[in-house]
Amino acid sequence: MENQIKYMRKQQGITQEYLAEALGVTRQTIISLESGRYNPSISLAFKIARFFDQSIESIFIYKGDEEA
Amino acid sequence: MKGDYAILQKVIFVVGVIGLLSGIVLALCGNDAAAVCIGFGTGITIVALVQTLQKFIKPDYTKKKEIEARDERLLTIRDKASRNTLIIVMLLTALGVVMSYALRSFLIGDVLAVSLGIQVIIYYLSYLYYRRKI
Repeated sequence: MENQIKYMRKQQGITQEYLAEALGVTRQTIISLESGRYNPSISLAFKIARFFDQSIESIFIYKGDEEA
Repeated sequence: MKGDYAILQKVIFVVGVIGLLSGIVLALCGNDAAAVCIGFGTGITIVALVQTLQKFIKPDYTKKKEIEARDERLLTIRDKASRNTLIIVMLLTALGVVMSYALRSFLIGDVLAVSLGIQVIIYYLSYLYYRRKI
């Protein structure tokens, strides 16, 4: 699954540290999310979408069955 | 969950103090197990005290640990690591059973076979529990 987290974060000019703190996760999780190594739970996906004030679909692009 | 890390710290400290006190009591009674208890208790107590001191040295230490404790990626990693550990331990136990019987160490073979059986039963009961719960 691809995502636009890095793009949106940079667009808003915020750091990984700040985003991690706002979402209640570690900075390493943000790094993994941005690189696509880790797919978030539905609850974290909602938090991310709400943080950027976007819909989940506009941030996460589902491309079929993949290993999480 | 919030506060989990602080609770865990307190539990570690209490276990350490109990171990240390048990060791002292055993030492007073002249029991040989005293050294083990004192060693275990002192070690655990020191770990808890170092963790407590970290809070004063680094003010955001507890907050960082709380976040790490409920970070979903770390939880997934812990789950996967636990699953792999279980599989490896079960395979090694099964190998141990075969090796023990092959080397005619029947007592060790029996103990390992019972241990493997218990692991399978616990796994099955956990599976049933989570199948109902989730």
